[in-house]
Amino acid sequence: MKTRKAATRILTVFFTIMLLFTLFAEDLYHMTLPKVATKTSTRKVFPYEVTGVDGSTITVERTEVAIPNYMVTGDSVYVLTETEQGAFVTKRKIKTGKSAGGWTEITEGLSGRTKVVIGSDRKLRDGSRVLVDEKSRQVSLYRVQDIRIGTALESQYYRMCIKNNVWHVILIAAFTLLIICICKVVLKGRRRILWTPVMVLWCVLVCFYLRRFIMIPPEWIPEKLIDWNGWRENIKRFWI
Amino acid sequence: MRKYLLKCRLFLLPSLLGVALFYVFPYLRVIYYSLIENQFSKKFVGLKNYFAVLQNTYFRLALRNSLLLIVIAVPVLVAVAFLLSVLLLRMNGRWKILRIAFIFPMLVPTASLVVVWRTLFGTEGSALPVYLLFIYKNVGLLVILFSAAFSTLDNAVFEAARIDGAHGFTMHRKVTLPLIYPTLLFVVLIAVVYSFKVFRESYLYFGTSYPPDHSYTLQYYMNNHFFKLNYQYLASGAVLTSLIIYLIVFVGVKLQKRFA
Amino acid sequence: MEKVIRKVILSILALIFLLPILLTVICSFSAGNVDTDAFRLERLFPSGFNLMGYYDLLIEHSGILRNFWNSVFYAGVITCLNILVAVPAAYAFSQARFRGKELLFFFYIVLTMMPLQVTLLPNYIGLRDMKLLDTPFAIILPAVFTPFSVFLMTQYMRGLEQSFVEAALLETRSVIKIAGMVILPQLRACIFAVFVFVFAEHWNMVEQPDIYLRQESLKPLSSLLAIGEGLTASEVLAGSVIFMVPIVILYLYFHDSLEIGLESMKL
Repeated sequence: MKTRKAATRILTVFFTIMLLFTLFAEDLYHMTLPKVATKTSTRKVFPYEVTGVDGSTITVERTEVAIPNYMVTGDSVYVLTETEQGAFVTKRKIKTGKSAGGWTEITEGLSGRTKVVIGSDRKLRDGSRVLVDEKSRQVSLYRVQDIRIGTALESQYYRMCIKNNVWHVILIAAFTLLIICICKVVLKGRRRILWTPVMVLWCVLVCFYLRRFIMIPPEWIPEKLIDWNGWRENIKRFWI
Repeated sequence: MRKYLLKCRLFLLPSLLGVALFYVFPYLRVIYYSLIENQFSKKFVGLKNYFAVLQNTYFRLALRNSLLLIVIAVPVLVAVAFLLSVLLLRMNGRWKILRIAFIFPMLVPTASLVVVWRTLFGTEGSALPVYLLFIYKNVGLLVILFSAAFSTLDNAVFEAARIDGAHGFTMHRKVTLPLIYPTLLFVVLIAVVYSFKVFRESYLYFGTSYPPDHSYTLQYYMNNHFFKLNYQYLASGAVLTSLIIYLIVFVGVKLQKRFA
Repeated sequence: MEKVIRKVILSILALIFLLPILLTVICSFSAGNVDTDAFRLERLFPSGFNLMGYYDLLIEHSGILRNFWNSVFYAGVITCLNILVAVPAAYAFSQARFRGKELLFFFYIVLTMMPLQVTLLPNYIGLRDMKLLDTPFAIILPAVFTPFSVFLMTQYMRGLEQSFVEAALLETRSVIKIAGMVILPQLRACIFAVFVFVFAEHWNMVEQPDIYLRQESLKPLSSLLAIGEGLTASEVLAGSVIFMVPIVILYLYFHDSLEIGLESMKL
């Protein structure tokens, strides 16, 4: 009897959790998109040495596409593309030229007024979907997801399916209730049928109505949900 | 009483209707398909398709592998189940819980198990992992059946045998085995039949419709023809396989009747 | 002494039997790096605890949740309807007398024993003629009439005391009353056993959805997990654990009944 009681509880909790995930998948997904800050590439003036006709060296000034020095890491940068489906980053190979006054010239790969992602060496992948952090200028890249290119649209479609198919969810909730009711009736006598289904129903209804109002602040979601390795390394680094 | 019995028959109706609709009538059409040249010309060609299937290298390979599975894995499975149920004999109280470990794999979704299996054995190599998976999945049912048979045995028989000087392994061989002979027969039958059902495990384990030669069983043959929509060969293969199963069950029932 | 040795051997064997399941659960809680996330032996020795597998599966690939509910829906509906169809049929097989009953029952047994690949083609043809392919009915309808439950329940009912029915016949003529009052209460264990067995069977199905269904959004989770396309190993592991939970719970619920019910399986 004890196992059965526990099993009922686990069943209820499990299905409730799955239901919650189903209802909140969209919101959770949006909340956990990687946030990136961007900076627009501009044109800057660089000094160039030109050999004149008579062999003398003249310094001329030329305006070239440039990005700040700290954004150059390796031979590629991440460029932001904003579409109707959201913002995506794409990797782009660049060639750097001169560096002056804190700015680096880009001779190949970028044009002016392109949004370049700051701190792109960390965890972004080609094709990652991101949220652009307009407010804070600092890099707040806390979670990188990895949509394989080509599956982005498909997953979008699934999301729509879930979102639009309210009846699906209701049917499932009803079915969960039915199962629990049957279990309860058959196993426990008719007296205490009510609490579990009522609780589940209540949770579902509440979640369903609240889902558009609830927004978890993005700061609450850590980079990795629980990362013991990271902790261990931190402890090693700072304490030992 | 008469009326009651008449009414009882009505109860059979829904099930019969469904079985007829989804199994029997379509099966008749399958037989029809197996006898014509193709769906478009509808020319009656007799048993030509059957001969073509029987001569097909892949069908032969599949048949051989299926038989190999029966010859190798089934005896091991039955032996393991028998040993386990002998070990589980008269385990009462808290130790009864150990049964769960052996019966539970029967229900675990194969899709969940396959990851570990692949990690442990890799997907290349022999057919051994599939045999192991087959044994792992089916031992539970056989343990239940054996245990049921053991529990009906009279304890006095064992006492008498013990007094006569039999104990341990000898006793089980000389006393237990003959007593549970009908059950053993049924268990072997079930094991053989289930060995034909091993396709899902094999398919998930290899993750492809074209496994290495040693694991290409009859079901792969059928499945691949399904995806090619090769109705004639498929139909003939289905009819042949169902005949094999029918024969196995028929012989099993006959033997059962003789011993019981 | 002998019993102690038996207990030790049994414990070791039980551990071996549970090992694959335990490994699945343990590994699912330590997702590897995306780059090294392949099916390799090192994965079996987890390096740390994190929930990234679950995160990836439930939030990033949340489309798969729909397939999970599909699985629940299919398996649940199939099991309930199957029992609804099978109980009367089994009752008729054990009570009624008519010519050819044994032959019909033998036919049911043979049908039970057929491997799926044999019945797949007839089912496919039947469904195609009724234009049900690529709908949920394609999965549900043939499965509702799987004869296994009829077979098991009939054997179970034949093992029951028949004198009750004769006694009840003196009181009432209604078949439904007799079935409901006399037979059904005794059938509890068997119904539970069939419930668990059939539920597990159809929770598990892979071939039918692959063949009858084209749309990904209609497929159950099992067929997606099985193919594992577009999922990393850690996601598959997490999915496997989620996929196992309902079965584990059902088994915990009904493990006594399951054994009692399946014990009556004979020819």
